[in-house]
Amino acid sequence: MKIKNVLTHTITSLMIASGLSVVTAGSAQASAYMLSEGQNMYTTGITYSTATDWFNQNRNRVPQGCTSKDSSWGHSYTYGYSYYYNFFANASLANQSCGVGAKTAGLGDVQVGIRGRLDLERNGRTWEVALNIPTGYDNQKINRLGYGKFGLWAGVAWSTQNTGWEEKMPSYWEAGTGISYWFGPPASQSKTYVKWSWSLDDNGDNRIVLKGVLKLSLRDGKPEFPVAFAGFPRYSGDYDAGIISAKYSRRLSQQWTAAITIGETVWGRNISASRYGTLSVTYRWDD
Amino acid sequence: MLKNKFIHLAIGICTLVALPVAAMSATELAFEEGHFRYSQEALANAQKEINIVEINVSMNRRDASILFLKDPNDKSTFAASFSLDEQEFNGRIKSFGSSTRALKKKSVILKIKGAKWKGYQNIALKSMSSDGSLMREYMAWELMRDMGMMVPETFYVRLNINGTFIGYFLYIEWLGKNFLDTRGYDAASEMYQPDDAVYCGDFRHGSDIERCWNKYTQDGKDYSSLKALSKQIMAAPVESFDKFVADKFEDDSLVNWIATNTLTSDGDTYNKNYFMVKSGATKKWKVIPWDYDLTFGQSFDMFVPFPGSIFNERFQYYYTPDLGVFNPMKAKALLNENLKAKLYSRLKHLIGKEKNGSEKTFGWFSPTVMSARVEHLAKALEGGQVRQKYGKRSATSFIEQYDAVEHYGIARPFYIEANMFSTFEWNYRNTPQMKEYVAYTKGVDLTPEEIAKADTALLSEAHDVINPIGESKKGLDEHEFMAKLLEKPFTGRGVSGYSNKSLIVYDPGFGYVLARLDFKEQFRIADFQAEAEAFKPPMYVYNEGNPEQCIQRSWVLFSRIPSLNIKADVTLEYFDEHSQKNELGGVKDEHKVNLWVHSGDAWKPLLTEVNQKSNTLTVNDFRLQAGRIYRFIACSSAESALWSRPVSR
Repeated sequence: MKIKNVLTHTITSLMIASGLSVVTAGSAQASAYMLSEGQNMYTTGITYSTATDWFNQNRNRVPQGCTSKDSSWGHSYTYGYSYYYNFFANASLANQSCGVGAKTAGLGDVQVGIRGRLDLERNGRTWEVALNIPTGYDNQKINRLGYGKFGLWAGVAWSTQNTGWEEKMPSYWEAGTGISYWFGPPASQSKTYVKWSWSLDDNGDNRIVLKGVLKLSLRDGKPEFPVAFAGFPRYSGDYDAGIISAKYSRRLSQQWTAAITIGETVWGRNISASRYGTLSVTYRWDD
Repeated sequence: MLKNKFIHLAIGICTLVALPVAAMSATELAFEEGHFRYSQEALANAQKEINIVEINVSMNRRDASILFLKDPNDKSTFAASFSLDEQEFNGRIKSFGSSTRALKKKSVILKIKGAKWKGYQNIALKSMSSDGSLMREYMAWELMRDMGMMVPETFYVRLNINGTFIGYFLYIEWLGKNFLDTRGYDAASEMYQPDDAVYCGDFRHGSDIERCWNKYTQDGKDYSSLKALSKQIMAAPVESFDKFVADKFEDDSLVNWIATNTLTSDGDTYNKNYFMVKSGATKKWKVIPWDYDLTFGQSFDMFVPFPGSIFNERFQYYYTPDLGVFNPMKAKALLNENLKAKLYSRLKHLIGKEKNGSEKTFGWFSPTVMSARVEHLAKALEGGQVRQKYGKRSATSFIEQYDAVEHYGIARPFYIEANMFSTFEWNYRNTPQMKEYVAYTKGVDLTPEEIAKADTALLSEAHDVINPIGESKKGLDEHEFMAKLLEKPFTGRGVSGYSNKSLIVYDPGFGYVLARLDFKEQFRIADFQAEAEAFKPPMYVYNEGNPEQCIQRSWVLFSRIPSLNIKADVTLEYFDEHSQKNELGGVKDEHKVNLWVHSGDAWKPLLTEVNQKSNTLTVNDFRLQAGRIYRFIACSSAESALWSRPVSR
């Protein structure tokens, strides 16, 4: 009985302490790399994000009237179905609050997709399409877990690293771009990222990754969905964002990699100027 | 009349005296080195028919192209059907391997579904793409098989995909349960292999058996047998290590493994490339060697990053038996007097020094037999290799590659003979690895990189063990060796009689080949002396010659026979072991180097055949006359293109 209680308590705590912000949940995790047939990769990470300001419709940074405190537990799984196709799925459990409105905890949007090769003779050049699936949460809440609509994501990615051997390259670049389309009110949005990975040692076991992400609304930039107060849209369906981040990753073994990431939204429209930190681990294995 | 009878008598006497020598020369010794012999069976074995099996694969055309062009680390498989031994199979095909994955011609595995070939579902075909001669690994497995070792079956394969000849591959039997079954090992037998990604299958203290090894048979999670063996190796005293080996090992596989590695110069094995097999019936162990592509002179250049570290045009034949990383099995075998004697006996037999074994292997690795073997293999492969879709070389480049292997086969026995059975007393005690061994006996793992930073007391203790107080030193360590090497020219003398064959003049102290003379004319006796001033710019050069644009070596060749006047192809060699130890000086392209000779009057350029792989320079049909001293240098100049060409046949 005691054991059962402890287990229940632990699981509840994990559920509450975890999650993925709605902004992240709505974005595909583009990758320039294909797994081999029969390879599996699972990444899980806990993110904490907080903000006191937001970028308003005029892109001015102003106080948002509440301090947002969001935590999430993200999960990402990719399977190498064949040389030509990988399948992937992303999901998150979230706990979100910002002074007003009820705290929200639970499963956010789920994304399932397929990734393929732009160049059949090398790695590091991919296309992907994905379906964003809402999971039944209340999308009218101020603190909510997703857009509440089905959406499609399509993107491409490139990397200067094209083979496994070059994992030991001192540095390499990666870039990707794509579009999200929603079957409903949320504005379509383009997402572009550039990242630079630099190895701290000869084996490439310790790496620093600097990344910049630019998200641009493809509509008129007017806030969508409920506002918290004073015109602050907690999660607008129409927003721009410029996010920078730095990551340190360490390969612990052939299978395990751990990483810590910090980042900040430094520019935007209709979005919180949040800072976040993520602790994540990745596990890879073959069938 | 009396005069005629006298002449006939003289001819008869001369014939009687000369016949036995001439007969021996003609039938036994192609190389008149005088002290390497071989059996006719060994020579015939080297020239036996070569089995090349055809495998025809059918698969999707796009997949067939991608298989060889894709990301080297990708492990994806593709549907394929294929024929082998007149049987049809369906299954999958994929590339495999480690370093050679980075090359276009990749090793492949054919995985049979729903059937088996000789009990196997996996048909592994090695690309041999790190070996321009396509014969190193084949010869190594032949050697081990002829020595009686339990090794996988191998044969050449012509791989065709969708009717296109992809290239020559080497079939290598899959090591696993079926391999053991077919050799009489029961289900309780165990097979282990070091995980080649972690480089620690070496029985050091820090070698975590479960992390460093993979187990392929029986209960794959139970490593207790190998753990126990590791502890036993650790505890076994050097003095009685021969008894330990006799008690714990089924046969001479440990000594044979070291002998093979010594002959082929394979150091890429002692922490990753070998298998350990424990018989369920006898409870004894056996070593099964693995991976012999980086052998026969291939040089690892530790000073440049991959792929140049492995795939380079450097060359060596002068590594002693301790080559490769530290492994206590190897160390204790080389330090134990009885196992060392067994190893020496095996080596003497194989290079043709002593006939203390089977006819088939007597002189297996002698210069004459190795030369014949390489030429025979080259004839079998040269026509097809230029038509390979992947990994092909020009006919000229292929000659250069196998000529280098042939040079290794000729030079290596001289080196081993000079360093192990002659005046230079090689001893494991005098090698840098001995410090690792002493540390190992104290429960400490040291790598060569860690020795400089190691505990002073430990190093002091190691020094006393290596050089016991009151005992005179028996050999040279590597630093002393290099110092000695630089202080005087290499000197050697070669004598031969009643032949028109080849003569190797080598330095008996170091074992380096100084000159190879392939005579074009019959002679009664030849006696040549050669000297080489190494690692120095030439002291004398031709007018306007720049010593820095010359190979950093000068050669001197002369004969003491008063009446000698003979034509020969003269081959000289220089060092290019790795980027930090070579005699290239300012020479950027070895193919643009030609020899110059000065024999008393003036410097003359010589039409030179260059082998940049084996670092040899040959001048054909060179007339050697007694009383003359021939000084050679090799330089690169604007005119060198007119005087230099790749080695030919």
